Amino acid sequence: MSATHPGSGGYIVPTRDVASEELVLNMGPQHPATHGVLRVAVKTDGEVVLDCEPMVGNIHRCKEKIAENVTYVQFMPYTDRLDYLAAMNNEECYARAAEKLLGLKLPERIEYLRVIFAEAGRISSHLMSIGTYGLDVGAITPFLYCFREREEANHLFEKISGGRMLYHYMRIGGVARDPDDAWIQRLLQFLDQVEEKMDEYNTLMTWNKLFQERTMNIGVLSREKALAFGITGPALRASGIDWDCRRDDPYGIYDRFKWEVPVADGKHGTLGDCWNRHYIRALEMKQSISIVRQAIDKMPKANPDELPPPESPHKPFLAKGVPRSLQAPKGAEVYVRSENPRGELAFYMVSDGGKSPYRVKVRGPSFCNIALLPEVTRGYLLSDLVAIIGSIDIVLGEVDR
Amino acid sequence: MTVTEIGALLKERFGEKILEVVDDERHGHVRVAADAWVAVATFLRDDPRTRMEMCHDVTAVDWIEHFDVVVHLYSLAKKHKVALKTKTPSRDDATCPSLTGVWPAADWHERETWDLMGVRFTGHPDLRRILLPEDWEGHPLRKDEGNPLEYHGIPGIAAIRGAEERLREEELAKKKQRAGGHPGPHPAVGSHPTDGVTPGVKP
Amino acid sequence: MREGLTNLLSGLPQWLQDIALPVLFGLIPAVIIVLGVVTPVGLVGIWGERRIAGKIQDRVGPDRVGISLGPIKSRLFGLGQSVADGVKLLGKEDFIPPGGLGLMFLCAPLVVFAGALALFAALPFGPALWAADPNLGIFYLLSVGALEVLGVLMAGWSSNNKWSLLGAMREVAQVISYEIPMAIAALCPVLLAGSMKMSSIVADQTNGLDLWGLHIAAPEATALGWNLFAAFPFNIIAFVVFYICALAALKRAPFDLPECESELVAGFLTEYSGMRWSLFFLGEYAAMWAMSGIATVLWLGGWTGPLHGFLAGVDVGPIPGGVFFGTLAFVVKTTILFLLMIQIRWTLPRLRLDQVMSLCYKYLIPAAMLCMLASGAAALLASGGAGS
Repeated sequence: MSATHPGSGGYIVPTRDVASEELVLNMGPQHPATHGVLRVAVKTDGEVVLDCEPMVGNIHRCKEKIAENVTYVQFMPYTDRLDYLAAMNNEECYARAAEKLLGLKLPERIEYLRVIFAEAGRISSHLMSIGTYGLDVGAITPFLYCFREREEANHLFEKISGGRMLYHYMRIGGVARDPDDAWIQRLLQFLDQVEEKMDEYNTLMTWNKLFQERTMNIGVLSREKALAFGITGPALRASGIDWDCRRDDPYGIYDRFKWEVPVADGKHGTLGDCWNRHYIRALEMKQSISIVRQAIDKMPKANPDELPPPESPHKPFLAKGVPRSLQAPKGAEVYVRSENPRGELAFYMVSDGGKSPYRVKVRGPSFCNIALLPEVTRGYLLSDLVAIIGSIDIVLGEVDR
Repeated sequence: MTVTEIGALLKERFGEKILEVVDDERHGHVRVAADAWVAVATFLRDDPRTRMEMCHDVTAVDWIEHFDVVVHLYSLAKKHKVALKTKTPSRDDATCPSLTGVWPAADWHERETWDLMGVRFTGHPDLRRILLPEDWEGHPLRKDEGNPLEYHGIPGIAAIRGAEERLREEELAKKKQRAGGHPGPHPAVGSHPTDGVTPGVKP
Repeated sequence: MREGLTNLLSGLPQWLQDIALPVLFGLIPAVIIVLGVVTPVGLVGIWGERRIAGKIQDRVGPDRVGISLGPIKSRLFGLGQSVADGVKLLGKEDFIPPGGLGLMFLCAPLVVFAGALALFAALPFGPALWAADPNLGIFYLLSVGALEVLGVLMAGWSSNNKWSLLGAMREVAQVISYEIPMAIAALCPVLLAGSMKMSSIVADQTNGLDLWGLHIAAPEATALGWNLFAAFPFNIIAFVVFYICALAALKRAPFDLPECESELVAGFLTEYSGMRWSLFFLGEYAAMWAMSGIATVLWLGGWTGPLHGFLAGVDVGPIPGGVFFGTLAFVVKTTILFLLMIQIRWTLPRLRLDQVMSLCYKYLIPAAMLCMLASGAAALLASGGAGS
């Protein structure tokens, strides 16, 4: 006698005559594979996951309340702490939201710097997520290799912003500092280095038979489910949906670059499985490298009329005419989104005419993506659960906010 | 389609249930009566002209007298977007129909809105707190919600600030006492590091 | 010395002499030799793993702890790290989980360590350099090696922790499954040698190559007599099967499911701390080396081969050359297999439990069976056909 458990995994568990009961495992908040402080209550039959429930909120800081009590400028460093592995991208999104709310126009050079830093941040963040995914499935060495490269990215960001992880580099109406040529050269070297090492990671992970065995056909997320659950980012594209809001709803100056949006085609594994999610990230890094190179090529010199050099090294590099005290018109509201490494981050901001926003809502991609966890894990093994959490790639700072 | 076009489409279908269509350069939204909330959402999802497959975000804004529930919708196929807004009946009766039946994605967003803003979504299958602990009292994003004084023996920021202020006053009192006998520290240097003003640098 | 001691003891009553003599001349030297080998092997093994992992992962690894005795100061490549860690672990709290089975919890690491220790008792390091050479040598080694499962199950069961229990369940399922192909693979050299005695298996590998009835006489130094080349190519397969099974039986990556840190926190080790925790590791590294040693004896000629074959006549001081170079050859071969285990661990991702099982039952057992049949046929052909 045997029965197949509901769910897409379809592992067969014999039904027994002996009295047995389900084992409820409390995975996290202190568990190595939950990427921070996620807690998952897993109901298992032996090793088969019958059901699971992600419980979030362990590092909830009520950032949205903080935003209502600080000025537009003061909230910028808090956005770093949302998705702390891709702080540049958060800042970029918030800066754009605030600028749209306040009606600021940006000089060309700043736009290009935004793109360069956002894409470099994406490379750095994807390095981290690919590395930790290796760790999740038991390959320890790729993790350290990825960190070797991420270290270089950290050095670069530290040189320009002073922070290795939480940069506070983007400013409303500008950036903190204008990078010099030496820095740009070093960034280009970093890109070459990552491009070269990508093949190494792919040999160690993507095309490794054991890695494929562990991740292919696991945690399959269908197109329909991905849409219905509001999944965004690499996970959406891994399900075969050709959507990238950098290309399809272009913001900033993304429409000026030529690049391809990697979309899973189902040639390897199943469409929407863990392997495809991982592979999309690896491909995205290559595209980001190309975007950064194009942006560096095209970036104009600063025009002193609209972008004067800062009076002192301690002053940010802002466009001319950005007021010291920012105030949005009463009743103005914006909803601005950007393609973050983990999906679409969005800021909904409402102003009442005061110096601080009346309401800020952060739509964190990780928050939406992790809601799906029970749907894709039912019926798989406990080991698969870890692989699935890793492939969805969440950052708890953004889930809990 | 632009928000105006979507608004016209909705007005044609739902008549006076569509209260307002706003399409300015910052944000385009359609204000809907609460009783047509789910019907409008279902229409936007299913109609081949709109095809709003993705519920990007559900949230609420506290306008003191009432709450505005805001939903941001995107269509990946048609590459257009719209926001829907509706009012809750009043501040005390902060309810709104749930959209979980239309988009499963609304589930966690509505739980979060209930948790932080206290808007009750009728018809939500599992409306529990999500980010805050189960035994938390109040909804912190409401405008009248202050900082909690303590939670299970953990002092809140308000309590800590109060304690800090007391300590600072004591420190100042001590300094005044000492200043009577011999010259105290430089008057510009405060007791707290953030109070300190270094000469020559503008604060 | 032996006579002197016997004379000294002759004054004692006969029953006491009966107990004291075997203990004095058998047990105590054996324990000293075995402990003197096992503990350093474990400590150096742990240090070696960390250093090699560092090299593989493009970082330094532990390289600080050496000696500092007055003018003598050396980092010794960080060789002292394991000792320093041992001292640190001794000072840690010996935590016993409340609600668990205390005594069983305390005994589990001892059982695991004893299993690893007992492996060394019948491991022939060199010509006549062994603690014991029982007639059923390989049988003894395989059965004692399985003692570890018991210890791990005890640890998992007594910890009162769900992760520990899951880890122990995985260990039992995995190791018991892998013992089957391992034992079958080990039967290939046994069939070729016609003996389970370790020294006989080694001695059998100096006679040149038997290639399906064709005997090629070759001197020992050519290494052609090794079982690896016997019944070509089936014993190479058997060796690989044995090696994979050894990895699984030792819970080494990619088969480290019982303690895989990303899924089960630390598996059966979750609740262990301090010295008890480190006993598991000491046992693991000692068993790794011992398993590599068994593979060396069974397929790679034990102490025989080029080194021993060429230099057996060259005495090193008071040590006969045969013993010295034979032992050296054994240690070198075993260590190479040991290092390979380490390199595999730091290269491959982990398998899943069902994949581990299907690898065992679908591929390794049939392969091992085939090799055993082929080895039996080869042994028959070599001995001149059935009936002779």
